[in-house]
Amino acid sequence: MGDPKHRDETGQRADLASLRARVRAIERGGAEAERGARFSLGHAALDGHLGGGLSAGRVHELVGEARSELRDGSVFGFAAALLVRLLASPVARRGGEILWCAREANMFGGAPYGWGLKALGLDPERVLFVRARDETDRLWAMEEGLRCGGLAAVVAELGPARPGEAGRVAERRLQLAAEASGVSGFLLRPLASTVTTGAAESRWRIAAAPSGGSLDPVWSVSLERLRGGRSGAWQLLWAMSDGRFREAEEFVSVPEEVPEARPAAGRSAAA
Amino acid sequence: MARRFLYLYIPDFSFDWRRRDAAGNTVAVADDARPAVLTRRLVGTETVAAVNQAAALQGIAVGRPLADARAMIPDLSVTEADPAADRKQLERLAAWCQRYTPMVAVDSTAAPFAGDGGSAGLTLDITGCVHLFRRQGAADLATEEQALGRDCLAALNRLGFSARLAVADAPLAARAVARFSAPLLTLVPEGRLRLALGALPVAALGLSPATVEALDRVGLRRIAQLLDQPRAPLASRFGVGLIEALDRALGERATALDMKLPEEPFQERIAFAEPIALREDLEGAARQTLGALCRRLEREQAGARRVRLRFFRVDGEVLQVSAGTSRACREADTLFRLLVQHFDKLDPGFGIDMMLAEMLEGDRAEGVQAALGSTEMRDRDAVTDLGDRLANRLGVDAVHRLQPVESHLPERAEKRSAGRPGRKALTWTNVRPPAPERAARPVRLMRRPEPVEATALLPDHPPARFRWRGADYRVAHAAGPERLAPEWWRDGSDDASMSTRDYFRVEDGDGRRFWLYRDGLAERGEAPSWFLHGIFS
Repeated sequence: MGDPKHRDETGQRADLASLRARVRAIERGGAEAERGARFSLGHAALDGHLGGGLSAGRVHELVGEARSELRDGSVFGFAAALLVRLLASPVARRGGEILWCAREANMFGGAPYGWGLKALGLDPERVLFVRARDETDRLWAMEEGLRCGGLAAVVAELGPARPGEAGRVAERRLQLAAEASGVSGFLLRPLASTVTTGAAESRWRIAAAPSGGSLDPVWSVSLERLRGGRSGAWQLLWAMSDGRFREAEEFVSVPEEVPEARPAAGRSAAA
Repeated sequence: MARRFLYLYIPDFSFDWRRRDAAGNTVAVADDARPAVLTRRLVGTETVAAVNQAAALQGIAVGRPLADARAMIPDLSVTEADPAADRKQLERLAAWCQRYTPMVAVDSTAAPFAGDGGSAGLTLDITGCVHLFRRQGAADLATEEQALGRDCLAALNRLGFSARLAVADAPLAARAVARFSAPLLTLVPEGRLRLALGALPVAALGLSPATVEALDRVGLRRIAQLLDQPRAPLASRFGVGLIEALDRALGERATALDMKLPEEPFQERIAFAEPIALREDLEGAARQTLGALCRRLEREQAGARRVRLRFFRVDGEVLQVSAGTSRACREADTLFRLLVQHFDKLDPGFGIDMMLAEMLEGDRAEGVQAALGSTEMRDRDAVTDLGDRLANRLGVDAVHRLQPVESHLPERAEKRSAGRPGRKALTWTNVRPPAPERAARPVRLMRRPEPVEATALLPDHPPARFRWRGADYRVAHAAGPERLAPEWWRDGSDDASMSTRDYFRVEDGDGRRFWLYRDGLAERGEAPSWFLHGIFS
């Protein structure tokens, strides 16, 4: 639910939608009420679009912009920001711990860095890391985590979604585990293809956006799929100091003119 | 209750186990009576190192040249001695014997440790263990011990060992009786040691051959004769060792036994009338034994840190799986989940006739109570258990937490730790953070900074463009430098190679942000090289 300051028409719609969701949940039974829980992202328009916030106890897919490996930290930053919001909300478990299934190698631009997570507002104290060599083990670890009611969330750094039935089944299992325990899951993926298994609750695509040199990161976030909802796109700034999303001002990035030391090869690979 | 010890004497141990093939089946039983020797090369001559009973009966003694023995018995079976293999087999047998009691000691005064042929012995402390072998209607100690002894003899027989057993109040007495009297199973009733020992030769006390000979010269041949003698003259004439041996045989002086496990271990066992092999049966049995183990832990206010399941296969092989937990635990379910992950590698063979759950390491009470604590504590425990489960499958190194370290070097400023920080440890909340103007730290850090090709306008400027992993980036914004000098006060030799680094937070035209540093001091005219150390969100 939106902050009173931001409460406007969309905010009221959000309240209404979340009330409806709660009624639906109550109708479906007491246990369901908690599962239908949502956590606010602290951004009125976004919360409104999501019907009161992002659903906890579900699996969300966060996709980066690069093809096979992630070369910038936007997806990780966005995931950390979502975790900060989740842990701050009353739907998080009391223990409020997170399992982070990381990749082995330097593939994803290094390993999660405690001081960086802390700067974003996520207390590294609350994170249990597990490194697994292959995708199967990471998926297994994630599922184990999602079944563990003591956690608030599980994050897994994965490769591209497996096309076809295998990938769908794998994600369906995760989704069911999350629903049963109320633990939220976040799949972090590079954008290898447009493959989506459709089993996750939502799919977000995150790209870096010019910040104009500020310390707070800015992302261009597009919600590509949301179960029972519409897609959308936002430019979001993560205000690290107060732990909420803000609308980002548009920065027009004009690189300083640089004398050419040698012909630029262009940025085709990273585009 | 008096302690009761069972001594298991296998006269032809070195020969018996060699008759078993790789699969553990006894082969060539027909050869039983054939004289056999083990040989050892001694000063260039093949010498007899051990003889089986059949060979001994024909007068072949240890220490004789092989050629002599061959001349006496043309069809002598000859094998080269291998004390290491003997020892290994004996330890396997000792492990097998733990089906009767956790306290099994290898008799190191017997071969393959001493030169008395190919025999071997094990001492089992069966105090309080015999009731497991209670048959219907029988409740007295003697019947139970007899049942255990018969079971043991029969089982050893199936494994291809012919053994002689004795049960007595003192380990040395049981040893003497088993080795020096003919019956396969002798039970010395409680408090009847003097009677049982009296008829045995003095050598049964495990004395040195010189002492035995000296006693023989004065006509002391039976232990009974020694028991009648006044102690002091015996001691002054034959040494205190003789008196000590007597006392130990009579149970009046404790014998130190090198038991494989400590006393009163947390162990639960279950024996199957019909050997089991199915996965479901194994899991069911595991749950049952772990349940019993945990009930005992509960009773005694203890918790397990490391548990082991052992499966005794009908062919004498012992399989095992173990698992560790980071908090003392006495929940059978949790332990079961940790152990069952390893069941895939179990090969039950022709079946498993006994199973054992035991605690290898444990803690007293503290921390175990958490199960009754707050929801938060329960959540913490659930997470700890999850970590154990992950570590048991993916490896102990795979699961970690990050702990801050007071260092301004980025790669040193945190470390991986296995568990939750202790009360006194530096935590993310009590650690001194980097100065505010330096608060920018990347969300991911490279273990090893990657070199990049970068161009800067001036030697001490941030880069204007750089190339990393095959892609070019044009820098739109840059913040820095943040100068980090090597920690020269540390002794670490790796610092010698490190020079001062100037870190820049750079952003490209699309908003991707990186942490680059220039190695070397530009103002000193050192050739700058650039590295990418991390990525910002």
